[in-house]
Amino acid sequence: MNASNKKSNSIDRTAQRRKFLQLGLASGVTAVAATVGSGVAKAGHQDQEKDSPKRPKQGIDMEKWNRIKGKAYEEGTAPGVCRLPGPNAKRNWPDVNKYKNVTKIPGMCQLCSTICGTIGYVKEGRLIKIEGNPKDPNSRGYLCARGHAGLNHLYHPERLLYPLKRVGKRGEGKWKRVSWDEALDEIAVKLKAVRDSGHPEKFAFHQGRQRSKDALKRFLDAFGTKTQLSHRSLCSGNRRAANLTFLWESDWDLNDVEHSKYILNFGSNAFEAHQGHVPFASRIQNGRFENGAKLVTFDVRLSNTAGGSDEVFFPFPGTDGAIALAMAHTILAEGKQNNEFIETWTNVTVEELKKHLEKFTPEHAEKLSGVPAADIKRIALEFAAAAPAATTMCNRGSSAHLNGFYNDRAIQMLNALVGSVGKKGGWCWSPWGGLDPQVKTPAMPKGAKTWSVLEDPPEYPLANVWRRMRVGEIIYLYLQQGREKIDAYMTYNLDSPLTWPEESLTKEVLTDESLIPFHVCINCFYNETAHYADIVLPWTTYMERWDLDARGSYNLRPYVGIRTPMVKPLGESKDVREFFPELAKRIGGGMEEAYDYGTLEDYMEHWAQNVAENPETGKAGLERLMEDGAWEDESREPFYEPYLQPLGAKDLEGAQVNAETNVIFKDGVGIGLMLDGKPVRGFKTPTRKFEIRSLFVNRIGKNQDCSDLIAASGVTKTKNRPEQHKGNDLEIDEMPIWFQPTEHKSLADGELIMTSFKWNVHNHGRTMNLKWLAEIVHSNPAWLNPETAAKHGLEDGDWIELTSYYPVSLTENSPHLKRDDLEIVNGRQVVSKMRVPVVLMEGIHPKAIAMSNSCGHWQYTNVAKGVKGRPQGDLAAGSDTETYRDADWERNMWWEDQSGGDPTKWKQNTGNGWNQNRLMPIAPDPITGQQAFHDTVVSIRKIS
Amino acid sequence: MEASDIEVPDDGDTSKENGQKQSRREFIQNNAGLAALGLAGGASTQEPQQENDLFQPEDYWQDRMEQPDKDKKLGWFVDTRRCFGCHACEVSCKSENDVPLGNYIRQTFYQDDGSYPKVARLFLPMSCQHCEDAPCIKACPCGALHKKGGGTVAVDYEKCCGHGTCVDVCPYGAIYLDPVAKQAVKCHNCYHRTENGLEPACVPTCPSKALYFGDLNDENSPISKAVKEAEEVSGLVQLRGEKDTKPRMWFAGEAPAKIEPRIPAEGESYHPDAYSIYNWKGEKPSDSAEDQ
Repeated sequence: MNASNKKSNSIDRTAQRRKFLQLGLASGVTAVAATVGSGVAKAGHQDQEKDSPKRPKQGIDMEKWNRIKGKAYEEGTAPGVCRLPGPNAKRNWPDVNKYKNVTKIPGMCQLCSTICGTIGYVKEGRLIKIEGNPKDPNSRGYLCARGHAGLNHLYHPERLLYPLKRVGKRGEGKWKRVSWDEALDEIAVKLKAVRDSGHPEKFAFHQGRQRSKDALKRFLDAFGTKTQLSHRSLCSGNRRAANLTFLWESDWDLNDVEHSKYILNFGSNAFEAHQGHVPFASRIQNGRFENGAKLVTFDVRLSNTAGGSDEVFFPFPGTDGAIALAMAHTILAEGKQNNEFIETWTNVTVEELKKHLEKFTPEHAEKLSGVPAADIKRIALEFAAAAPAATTMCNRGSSAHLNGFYNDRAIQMLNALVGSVGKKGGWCWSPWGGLDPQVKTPAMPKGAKTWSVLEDPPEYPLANVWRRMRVGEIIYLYLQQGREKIDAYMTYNLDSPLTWPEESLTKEVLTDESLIPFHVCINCFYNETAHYADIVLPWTTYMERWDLDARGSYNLRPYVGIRTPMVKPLGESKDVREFFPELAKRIGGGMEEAYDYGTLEDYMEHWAQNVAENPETGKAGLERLMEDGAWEDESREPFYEPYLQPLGAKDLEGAQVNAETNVIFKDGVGIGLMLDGKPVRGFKTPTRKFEIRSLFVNRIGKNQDCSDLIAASGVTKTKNRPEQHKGNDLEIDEMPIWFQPTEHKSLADGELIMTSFKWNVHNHGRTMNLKWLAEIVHSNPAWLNPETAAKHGLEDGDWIELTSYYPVSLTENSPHLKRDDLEIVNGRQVVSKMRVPVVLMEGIHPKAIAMSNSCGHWQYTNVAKGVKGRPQGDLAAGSDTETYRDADWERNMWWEDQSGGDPTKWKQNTGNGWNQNRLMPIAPDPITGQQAFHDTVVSIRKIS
Repeated sequence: MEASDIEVPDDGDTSKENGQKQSRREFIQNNAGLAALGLAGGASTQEPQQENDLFQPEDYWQDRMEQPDKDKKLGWFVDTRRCFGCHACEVSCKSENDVPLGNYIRQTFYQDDGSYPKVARLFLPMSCQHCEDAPCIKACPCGALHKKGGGTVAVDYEKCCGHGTCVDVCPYGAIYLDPVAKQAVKCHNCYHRTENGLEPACVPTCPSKALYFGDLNDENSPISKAVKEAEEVSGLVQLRGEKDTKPRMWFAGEAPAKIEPRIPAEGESYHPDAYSIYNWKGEKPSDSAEDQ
């Protein structure tokens, strides 16, 4: 056996195979007892000899064999030991006709937010295989492990296929099946009452991952509520806000890594997760192996990205910004900055920058981060030398902190210093974060105009000014504190009990009918959210419904992709595109008019009508998408150096130049910049430059009127903070700065900072139910550096009790969160405790402890729960476990935890893990509301 | 498992004479473990593949060892430098071939190399090597294992009775016995796909461009080009060249050498515990660590 399996609790394969062979004998096959090792095998042959007087060498009767050579074997005629394959033998396998008479149907994956193009191979109405679609311009035909497990998702025995109505208490798990009519009638009555009350905002819609933006917006606008809650602040709020501060027109940097020479990564794990995952990761590798790029990663934990980098450094958690500022310091100190770009295209001077960065020395950064100053300097200069084909990349690793906005400001500024902003191989973006604007849906209803503290919490100045990012993690707390009342709550593809911080608070609020009087859950599975619903509606999978979809493409130009039903929806599952119009009709009051566009087919035809003709096939519009799956307008140039684009005579007609700022205005709105007497587009910021200094963030933080800045930027959808925000002023620095959260400054001996991460086979809350993925990763022991483990006397597989503490800096800076509900132990507010096993890993900072998310489901199918066998009772009431029965799961699932909750009996690589979010406090960055997933201080204690 | 479980075939165990037990790891190290090979060189300088008690008489298998066509040389190139361990190849394979839980036609091995803070993660996608001198064909008592066009080593399911002798002799642990069919299953180069103009299920999905499959006799094939380039830049390696089975899989990068001791061998199949994070460490677990 594999030597390294020794400590693991492996199934004894020798024994297993012996058992199998016994089964083989039982089924009538005369089999030789083959065993490991040649010596033992001889014994096996001796067994066989009892039945065979001729004792053929090696079990083969050569004489017989020569006689029948070339002929098909018939019962009893096979040579030697063989008779015939057993009754369950594979026949015609692999089937050479498998891919004959198949229909290829394009689609887009939705098991994470990267939405890679797919092709479904459909045979006799069944989806038999999912592959990547090479015509998808962003994903280029690649597909990760999750994408392939779409088959598990679609044909899952525990998929929700019928509407359910709660019959027991909320959260008790008692259900009965109801008809769609009954369900929709009841929902309509409740929603109509909310709408008629004059407070439509008391209908809160709460989405998880959604890729049907138009359908949701149509319904909610028609209803009249703007209370559309999301998880953006749990994901990317700080990174987006930092990008917006520099650029205004985009919240999403698209690092042109395929053409880079140097990729400087702060805490992003693009090889495993990231919103750009496969398109991004594949281009990083192309950049490295085909363009000679170097990839350098700073991360507290050795992700696959860090582990596969050319160099890796492990900074103290949350110090990314300090390192980036020290790099900026070095670049300027050594005179390696791009003077031309800074002086022309940023709104600060080299001298101002030098002064600002004076105190952020590499030595100071070393003290904070532990990364040697010499390395910081060296990497900074390598980065500068590779410019303009040099780019930073970062994501939740640097941004999901209480100082995350500033971390990302500092990191992204590096690109401006070396002049790689917008350059080929540099730090790019595109204004097309979604669909090519050439495609347009049928007319949308007028936007809802309500305001709600849940949707726009006044304490977070940058959460909703440029874009509606919202502050998802505070909603249950605010409901509990009575800061807002809702009358109806509809969840959609959401798993907040698992994915939100403070699992216990989330469950408490979801259970409380006085806080959430009516809850409709729309989902493909009975998950943790459905468990707290009153009505559960069975949603179609992404392989059974319609969307046009796209995301910011690394090709730096827009595209259009399509999701089409590959198969007929299973059971009674329906998409919102199908039942929202029905619901609107039932609610009435004019709401139904939003659906005057005709049939869904009409809608899709209209939406896709501007898709250009494919010259090779002659097909255009919806027809083209149905065949190709995606369309990229190749006539558009990639979005390099957009700021240099000259303004034409038509643009300039009636335009005026502000003599002081050189900003060109038209009808009171900024359109460009006079640069050396030439009118160019510039950046879409108030100064029309890359704003290293942002007056806007400072003024908006203090609730000042910023209409002048907004007008100059031309990004006129930017909002001043509304009346309701008054009195919630916050000082936001104009410049990229860095500070350390209070609780990180003086970690007590034995205290650690908890970090979380995603696996390459999972998304946060929606993949652990897929057996092929769960088989690879189903558990999440806590990572500890061996040095740390040794201090606590811990070895692999030992268990610890974790205690997590509420951040002191939040008590200081966000008193409105009023967490006097938390238990105080030794003078500190405790969030939660949890018991988990540890794994000793070289690849983690000694002051960090890492636990993945995605694990620890307590609903969401037997697969996610790590329970072998078929589910029983009410939890399966909405499923058809007979038709979609999975014998493989029932027979072969091997990782069920047999310990009965006893840590001393737990076996490594078994069970379904632990929900890391149970320990996480609700911790919004005061500036944007980004949940600080990577800052929590914990203490650990060995359980003996 | 104890090293004693990893019995090395007598003929290969150089320690046999002085009566010492030797772990497979030591054995491999002593025998270089992998050969740095040029593609054209193919054959190692060692003795031809040694006889094995489990092999059938040559008469019995020589026809099946012959590749039906001579012009094609199907093979694999795995660029481990590019692989980032995403498991897409494995899940695509699982989906394509409906591989039962707990069994694998292919697996990607992880290993953390070095110690803090100088540590890297290596990835090694493994599957059947489609040996030219395939021991599984020699040992198959049913006459089921055979060569298909291009040299693909495949199982004839009209014949395989699931003795598992192929598992016993495969130096790469690349064959499993299906728990329901009671038959041997291994990578078949997705011939049912390639015959219909598709690539093997694992190849097109690979976002790192680490997997190449194709005709090595066609110098314009993507695999030939990739192999040529890798040969010039980093050199090619094969795993367990000392077994002299002429595997048709070549690797680039340092992962094969470092991870080789963890790859299953004779009598073994790919195992779920390869995925366990507790096994990502290159180090052999200490003797005190017993199964719980």
